[in-house]
Amino acid sequence: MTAWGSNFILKIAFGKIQRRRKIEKWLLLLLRVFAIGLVGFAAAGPFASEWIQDGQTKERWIIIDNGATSAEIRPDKKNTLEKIKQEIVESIGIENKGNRIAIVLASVPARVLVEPTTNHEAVTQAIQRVFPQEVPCDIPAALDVAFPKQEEKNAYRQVEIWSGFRRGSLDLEKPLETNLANRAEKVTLIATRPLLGQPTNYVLKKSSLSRTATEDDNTNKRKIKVEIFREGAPQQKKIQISFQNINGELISNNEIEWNENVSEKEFDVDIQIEKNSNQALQAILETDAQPLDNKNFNALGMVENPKVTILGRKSVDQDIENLPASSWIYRAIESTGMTAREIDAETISIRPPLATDTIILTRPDLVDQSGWTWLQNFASDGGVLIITPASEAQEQIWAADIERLLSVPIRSQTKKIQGEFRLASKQPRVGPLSLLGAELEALSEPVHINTYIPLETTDAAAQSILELENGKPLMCWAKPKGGTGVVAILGVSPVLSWSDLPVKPLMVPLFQELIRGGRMLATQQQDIRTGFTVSLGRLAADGLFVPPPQSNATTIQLDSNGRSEARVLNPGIWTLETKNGNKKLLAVNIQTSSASIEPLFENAVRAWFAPVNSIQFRDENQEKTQALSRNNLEPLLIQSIFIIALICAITESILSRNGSPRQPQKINGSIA
Amino acid sequence: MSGSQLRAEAYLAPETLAQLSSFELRARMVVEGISSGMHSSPNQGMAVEFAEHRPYTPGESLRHLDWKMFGRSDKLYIKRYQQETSLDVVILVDSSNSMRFSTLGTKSGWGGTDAGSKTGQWTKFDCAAAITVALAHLCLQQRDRVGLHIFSQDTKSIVRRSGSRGQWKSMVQALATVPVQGTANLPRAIEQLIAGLGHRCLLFVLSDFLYPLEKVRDSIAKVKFKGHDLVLARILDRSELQFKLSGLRRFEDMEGMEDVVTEAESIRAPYLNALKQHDDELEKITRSFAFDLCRIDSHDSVGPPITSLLSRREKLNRHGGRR
Repeated sequence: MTAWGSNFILKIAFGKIQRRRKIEKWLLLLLRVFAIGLVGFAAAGPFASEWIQDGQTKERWIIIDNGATSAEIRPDKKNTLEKIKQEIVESIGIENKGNRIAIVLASVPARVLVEPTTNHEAVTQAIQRVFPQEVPCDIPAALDVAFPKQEEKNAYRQVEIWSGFRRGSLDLEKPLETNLANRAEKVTLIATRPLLGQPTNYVLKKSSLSRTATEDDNTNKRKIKVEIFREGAPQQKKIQISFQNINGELISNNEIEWNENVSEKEFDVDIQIEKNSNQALQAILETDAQPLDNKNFNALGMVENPKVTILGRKSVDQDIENLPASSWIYRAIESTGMTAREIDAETISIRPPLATDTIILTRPDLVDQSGWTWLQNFASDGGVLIITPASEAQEQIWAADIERLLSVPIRSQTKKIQGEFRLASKQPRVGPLSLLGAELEALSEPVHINTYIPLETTDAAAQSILELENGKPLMCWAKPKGGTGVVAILGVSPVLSWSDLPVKPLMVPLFQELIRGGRMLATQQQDIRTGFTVSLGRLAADGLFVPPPQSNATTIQLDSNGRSEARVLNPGIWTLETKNGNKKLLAVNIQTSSASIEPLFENAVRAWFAPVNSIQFRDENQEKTQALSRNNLEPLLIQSIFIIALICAITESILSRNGSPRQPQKINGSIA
Repeated sequence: MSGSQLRAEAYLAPETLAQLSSFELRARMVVEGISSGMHSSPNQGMAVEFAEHRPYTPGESLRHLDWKMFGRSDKLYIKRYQQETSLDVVILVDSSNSMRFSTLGTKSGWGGTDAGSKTGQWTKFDCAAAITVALAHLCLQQRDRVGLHIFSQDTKSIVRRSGSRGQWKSMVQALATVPVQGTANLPRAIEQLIAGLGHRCLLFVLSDFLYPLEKVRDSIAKVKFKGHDLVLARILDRSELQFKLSGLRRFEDMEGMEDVVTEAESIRAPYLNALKQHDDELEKITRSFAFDLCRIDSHDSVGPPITSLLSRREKLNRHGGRR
């Protein structure tokens, strides 16, 4: 007891500290409760999992990248997917039994393999049946499947992406759609780390039929152009490349020397293959780190004589100087063994030439509006249409509107240009004349042109395939918009009054290749790649796309436009069965970029996912994941909790000195 | 020699008186005195020192007319004088229970009151008594009249104003014997005092002022209204000023209010803050009426604060003073 004179002041001060003391008391109470709670929690940790199993559970969505890159063979001879599967199964083994697990496959088309279930055994079995698919990996679509739906977006979910994250797995140039972010608010996104290192991998990019102007159609000798490129470290080695026919019989085996400094190589291989039946072949590289890009299918088709119709007008004048273009062309075609018939261009609207697959129009000035409409339909439906100016007309009136008439991005002038012109010594080597290659330049060299009509392409869908020395196009080609056929317009009429072309060596291979190459382009579809739908044009309307016999794929139904809804999932030689019973072989190959095993940087992967959610790599998240699973409160965690509890208790002890009862002290013996 | 005489001499310790003797106690304001002394009187015209001329108003008494001026200038002026007067000083001493507080033992040769002698401590009341007798001695030396009122809840003891030689001893006697107890009621004491004052005085209030100041303000206002001068001397024990205590304590209120149980360390800062605020308020009230406040630590000698106060007031008066 301290007798105090100034209690009046003391009371004022005491009143002021009352509020602070109240807060302190509450804080103390909280600390006590927290400390006791922590001690209890830590002590109960080992038994907690059993209690929690019946209570809170989490939903774990596992996305497995089983696309083409997952077939990459690792140094231990297992492929990436095998290793991933093994790790997933291990992680499921320590998973809380009450947690639900779902499996999503990321290979095209991304789909749920196992709906969320607590039957972990079934999940494990399903995983064991997953194998690398020869299709691209579509992680955005897999995320779309795995993320909670808009109406469930507040549900907590752990989405894991198990992938090697090679270049073929992620298209870094195609960013993730940000609308996924709305559904990812409560999603914990976890991914495996991108694989490091890059083994040397040879990619068989393309094998295609090559042809020369001097090729003899009567022999079974075919020239195949092969394109290979290398991923990874340079390597000096010999590579085996073999060819099999449609029955799987070896028809050629070659060895090529790969120079260390070369990253890309293109070469021709001669093979013997029958021409008179539907033929296909498969080029096979020796197995390396990525086996799926070591084969390439190629449908060679059946070599049939094209049915050519020349639309011109016959002339009674047999003087060679005045011979019309149609006659020159007829002679050129006839010399190759092809059959052609010549009809008057003006009759086209009255009696269109039905049994024809190639039309050479030398008198466009005679075609009326309905005739042009028919020609447009012909080209759209897969026909080859070659047009030359009418040398008989002073002005090419038809040329003014050719872009609209045939729906091709090629424009032509109506007035002819005269002078001394030569063909360029370097030609584009594209389109229908591409197979002539370097021979085209040699054949072009002696040709003189003195009259022509200027042409120009109006967009990239059209190409110049024959050029003058001054760089101006002399011939252009394009596919009609929405059509499958070929339109080629030659700026010079093959008559002697315009050019000496009709009497030069170029004349025969030029038209022969325009017909053959044109037909090939008209009938050959765009490269059919696994993982995509097919669009085979109107000739394939309501047809069937039948998989290779040894494949387990199902037949795909085509719609009235020759398009499929389903994706082609298996590479190989497929058969198109048209409505009228015709059969045609078509090659389906893997998109080599989707199998690329070039490594990706971790930061690039992180950045790619960033628009949707921040991603944690699995090893970063491992401790957190274990905490989330709550069934394994590690001793370290329990120790940590005890330490925190101890700190709380000490703090409480220090703060509670005010509240603890103690004996009052005297004021140095001077209490009044 | 009686006991009270002995104690009175002890209060007038040479060290205290030595510090006071060089100053003259002057009222800062004009105080009405009965006998002429060293203090200015407001009653002009009666004493010796000429102050000013003012024009004569018809009907006014001709007694103070300055005839010489009339002879020189043919104009009528009344002469006014500044009269030197003696001063009435009344000292109010707080004898409430809180004035018993002390943490200082009595030194040999110091005077002690009934309050301090019981505990052998130098209480705040002892300090107040020392100041009172010092001031009284000074006043009596100047032939000023001095009186004493000792109060707590009521005025307990009154020593009427007088300039006689025995006055000082009477005051000492009253201080030595008055019981120090009860609750202080300064407003009541002031009211009782000023009711009996016929003319202007200099009042000293010696107290710890540890009570609410609202009513004190009203009382001081009345003092001002009546034209008296006032000096407040706040006497606190050093322990009260510094609060250097520790541990959990039950603080028993010496004037019977509620006890406070608290950790001394935790309340120290708020206590010192509250004390400062109270002190500032007291100073503000005092200054607002142009009175003086003097703070005294009961552990210190009473001389320096009184010397400082008197010096300050002397200086103010020399320079024309307030009012």
